[in-house]
Parts: sequence; structure tokens; C-alpha cells
Amino acid sequence: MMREQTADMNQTLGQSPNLVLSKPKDSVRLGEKKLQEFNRGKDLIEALGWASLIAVVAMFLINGGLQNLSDLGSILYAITRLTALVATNLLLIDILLVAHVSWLDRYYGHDRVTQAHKKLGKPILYLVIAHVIASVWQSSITENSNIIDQFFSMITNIPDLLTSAFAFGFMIMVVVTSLNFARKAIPYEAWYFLHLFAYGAVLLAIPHQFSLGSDVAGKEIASYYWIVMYVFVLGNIAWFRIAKPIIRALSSQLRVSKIERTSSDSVSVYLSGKNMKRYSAEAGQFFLFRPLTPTQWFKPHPFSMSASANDDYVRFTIGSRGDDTEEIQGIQVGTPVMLEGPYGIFTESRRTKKDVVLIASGIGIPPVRALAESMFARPEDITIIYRVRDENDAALIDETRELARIRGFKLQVLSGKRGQPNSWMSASSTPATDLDRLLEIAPNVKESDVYVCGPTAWTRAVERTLNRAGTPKQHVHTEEYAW
Amino acid sequence: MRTSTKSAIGAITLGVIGLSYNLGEQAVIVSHSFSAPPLAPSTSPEVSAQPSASASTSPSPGTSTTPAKPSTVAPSPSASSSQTQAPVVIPPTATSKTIAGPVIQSGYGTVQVKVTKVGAKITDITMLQANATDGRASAFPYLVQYAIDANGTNFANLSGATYTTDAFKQSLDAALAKF
Repeated sequence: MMREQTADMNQTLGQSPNLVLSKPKDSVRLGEKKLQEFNRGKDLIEALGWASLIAVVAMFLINGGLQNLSDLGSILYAITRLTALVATNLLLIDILLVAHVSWLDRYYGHDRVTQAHKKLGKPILYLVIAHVIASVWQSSITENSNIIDQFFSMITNIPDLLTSAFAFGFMIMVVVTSLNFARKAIPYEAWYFLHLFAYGAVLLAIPHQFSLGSDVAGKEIASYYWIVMYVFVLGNIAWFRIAKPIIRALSSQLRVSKIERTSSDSVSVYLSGKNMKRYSAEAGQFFLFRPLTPTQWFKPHPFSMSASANDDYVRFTIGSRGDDTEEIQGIQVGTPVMLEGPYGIFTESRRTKKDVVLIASGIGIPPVRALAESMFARPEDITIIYRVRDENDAALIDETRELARIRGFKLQVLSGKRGQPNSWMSASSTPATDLDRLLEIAPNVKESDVYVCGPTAWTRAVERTLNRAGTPKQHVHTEEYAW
Repeated sequence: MRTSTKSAIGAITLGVIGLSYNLGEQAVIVSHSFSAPPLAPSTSPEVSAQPSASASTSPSPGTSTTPAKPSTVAPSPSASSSQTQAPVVIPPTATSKTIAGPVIQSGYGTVQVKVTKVGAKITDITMLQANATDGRASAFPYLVQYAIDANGTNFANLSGATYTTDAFKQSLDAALAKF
């Protein structure tokens, strides 16, 4: 039955002069077992991270770290060592989280990984502060001097501590400039530049760990452990963040090949170059997009592909979100660009149910449009809900309509002003709730995989309705642009 | 993480932490803030165990063996007595020379060493200044022994006396550089 339908689609492919669609996938794996395998992979990754922490704590304890805590000095000494070990280990994990490592992205998605990276920043700084204070305090007790004098005497007299003091300063700066109020106050470029000092902090702090660290210096197993950790983390960064994108950019020489206005506030940008197969991505994934112009190259923008991957081009549809996206819309044909990615798990790899409901709002449509194009489905399997302010002027609305018509998917456009407060749907003449209306559009939503893409607050509202409808959380897929 | 995985990992964690703490307790604790690894019998046990054999296989019959003297600063731990019996092979032409290193601030006190070398071999190290607070001074006999065994500064730091070890090595290195 599926085969018949694919044949049908091939016939209709050429029939629309306005829209050329790629062939959908010819198979998909469904069922709870697929989900379990993902969970197993996640458990393994988290267990490894945890094991690395336990390993350093165990080495500390075997080393007699908590023995003979008789006075304040010895307690401070134990704190100095333990906080340093745990903080360094966490810091390496934290850096790995932002290395755009593909094996992490495949299990968690770029947004979840970035959120975890953000969460770890402050605890690490607290541990490092505790380490610095405890070590200076302890040594001021044994030297009978005051803490400030002792601090300066330590950084000037003890080798490798001066660089560590700089590392400490960098760390404070990096975390403070990333706090919410600071992020609002300083421009992205400045924040990004300052954030790079985190790498400086790590590198400057390495020498004192190996020369002075009571649990590392001269300890063979511990030294090997830390060398392996540093090489592993820095190697991942060097490959995924630097070498891989640059090698690919040089070999493909991507340029903007076409620009198409899709509504009054959105444009589709086509990128072409050599070896386009290198950019093969799953529908629903996004790339970090850098126009290689003097004013833009250092500002990566996350854009979802708005059409399935194909051998000719990568296409993004860019809205006007009030930031640099306006400037990007003005990009010229021929501009060289660089792409990093693909990232994200807003893809069919997370689908375990036959029925799929795709819900988009405004400029959240691109990945939904790409998913609808590429998913393996019978006509009745997919329902698309597209929330727009004005159905005559919405990004990709004509294409989405055409796609739904060709493939036979149900498309519900919810157009106009918002109804009730906290509603994610448009105003309606009936008093029906969002849940009632959703069940009318997609009666089987409880047993479906639901993909939601739109602004954060709106996405939360959709999730609440889905929760009421009884759709289990693991079948609700969202992707937010996290930084 | 799934609940089952979480509880399994939690249990393993507790086990590992408990075991490591016990192992730490058994570790040799010399002073409250400093634990020295037990002194190895010798870096060349076959020589110290059979001094007569080593003498007979010695290439030059005119060699004399001088036991390395124990440290002059503190009563050496018992382990060093067997340690110091290792025969030192000295070429007949070698002369003894003694040089003092600079005074180094460890952060816990001042450290200064005086080294005696016969030929290429360190035969004695005397502590001219051996100040280290909070029990760290008990590290010096070990450091002296380690340096003599290693014939230089290529030995592991003492846990809990890292700064002191470092200062000791600096003073020793500077002295050795003058030979």
C-alpha cells in the first residue's frame, strides 16, 4: 500500500509548476523500542560524565584527602583540593557541551546541550572561588599573615600561580558577562569575544594543576587521567568547532545563489556550491549560518532548512525577528557563506508513531515545511497546523498549501488575532477551548508524534494543551534556538 | 536518565566513594597534612640485597662503596636505614665536591640545600634551611632520600607538601647546575 502511494507521489511531483518537491523517505522505523535505544544512549553518556566526576573524587580519597582533618588548616586544605578537582572536571565537561559535538547533538539536540552548558557555568565558578579562597586562607593560617598579603605573596613567589590568577580573573569575567542582565546590556559581539577568554582560562590554569596539584603532580594515574581528559575535550573542540567547518567551507565554497521573497517580512535564501552532499541533513535540522562579509562573518545565525536536503542547494527561509535577521535579509546573490552543522533532533529520527501532527507559528514554519516534505507518510498520517497573523502574508504559506495538496496532508491554517489570553490559536466565534479545537483538527493527537516550532511562550502554550490532550512528553518534539 | 539507571549508578557511586575512603585511611599518614608514599626498598634492589655479589661483578676492583648518609635534619624514618645500605660505585678518579643551593620561599617557609657529589653521583644532601610549617617539615628526610635515590630532582612530589617539595627541588636544581 505504501509503495502504491509513493508511485502516486512521483507522478504528481512534476505536476506543480510552482513547487518542486524532493522525494519523501522510503521508510521509517516506528515503535517504542526506537525510543528506548535513544534513552539508553543518553544514559550511557550521562553515566560516563558522572563516572569522570566519581573518578577524580575517588582518586582524592584514595590519596588520603579526607584523613586527619584535625584543624581549620587541614580542612581548608582538603577543600582546596576537592573543589579544584571537581571544578576542573566540570569545566572540561562544560566546554565539551559547547563544542558542537555531533555525538552529543544526536542524543540531546543543540538546544538541550546549550542549556546544560549555561546551567553548569555558575556552579563551576562557585567551586573555583571556593578553591582560591580556601587555598589562600589555609596558607595565610600557616604563614601567620593576612589573606590579602598572602594572596600576593603566593602569586609572586610560587611558580605557575600568577597565570592561574589570570585564569581566575578570566573565569569571573566570562561568567559575569553571561548573566542575564549583562547579556541584555552588552552587544552579542562583545559577549562572544569575552566568552572566548574561557579557553584562555582553561589553558592558563593547566600548569599549576600539574606542577602544584597535590592530587596530580607526581601521581602517575591521575596525571594520565587529566592528560586524557584535556586531549579528548580540546580535540573535540578543534575538530568540531574549527577544522571540520573550515575544511568543508573550503571544499564547497558555498554562495548565495538565489533570493526569493516569500512574504512581506520573510525571504528564502538558496545556497549552492560544490559537493552539496556534504551538507546532507535531516529535514528539521538547522545550520549556523555565517555570511562571509567583513561585518557579518563572526556572527553565526541558526536557521532551519526550509526544504529537504538535496544535491542542488540548501534553503533557509529567514523572517524578521527584530535582530540581525533584518540585515541578513538584505544579503546579495553571490555572497560567500559558511555553514556549521547540521544540528538538532527536530527530525524524523525521533518519530515513533504512525500519526504525526506538525504545528508551526509564523517563522517557525521552515522546519515544519521541510519535515512535511521529507517524512514517510500516507496522506492521512500527517496533519499540519500553521498559526499565522495574516494568511495572505505569511512565510511559505503558498508552498505549504501546495505541498499539503500534492501529498494529500490535512492543513489547518489558523489565521488572525489571538483568541483567549494564553491561547495559542486564533480567535474563534465559538467558546471552544484550544484542546477542543485541537482534537477536532487532529483527533488522534494523543497517539501521535507532535512537532512544535514557534516562539517560546507560544510553544509552552501548545505544550500545555498537548499535556491536557494526553500526549506523552516523549512524543512532543520542540526545538528552540538556544545560545 | 531513567530511574533504574539512576539508582544503579547511585549505588555504584556510594560503593566507590566508600571503598576509596577506606583505601585512603589505610594509606601511610606521616603527618596530618602530608602523606608520603612508602619508601621503596631501593631503586636497584638486586644490588642492595646482595652487596657481595655486586662487588664481585664490579668492573673496577679499586672501587669503594660509601653508604649515602641519612638526612641531617630529622630522624629518618626506619625505612631509610635499609635504603641507605645501597652501595655507590665511584670511579677511582672521582673527587668529592659540595655546593649550596639558593634559599627558596615555599609559601610555608624557607628551604635551602647543600649537595655533596662524588663524580656524577649525589652522595649527601644537607638541609641548611628546612622550614615548613604545619607538619610539612617531616617531608624533608623523605625528600633528601628521594633526591639521593633519583640522583637529582626527577622524583614524584609528596602529597600534602607540594610547595615544599617544589622549593626543595628548586634549591637542589640550582645547586646541581653549579657543578
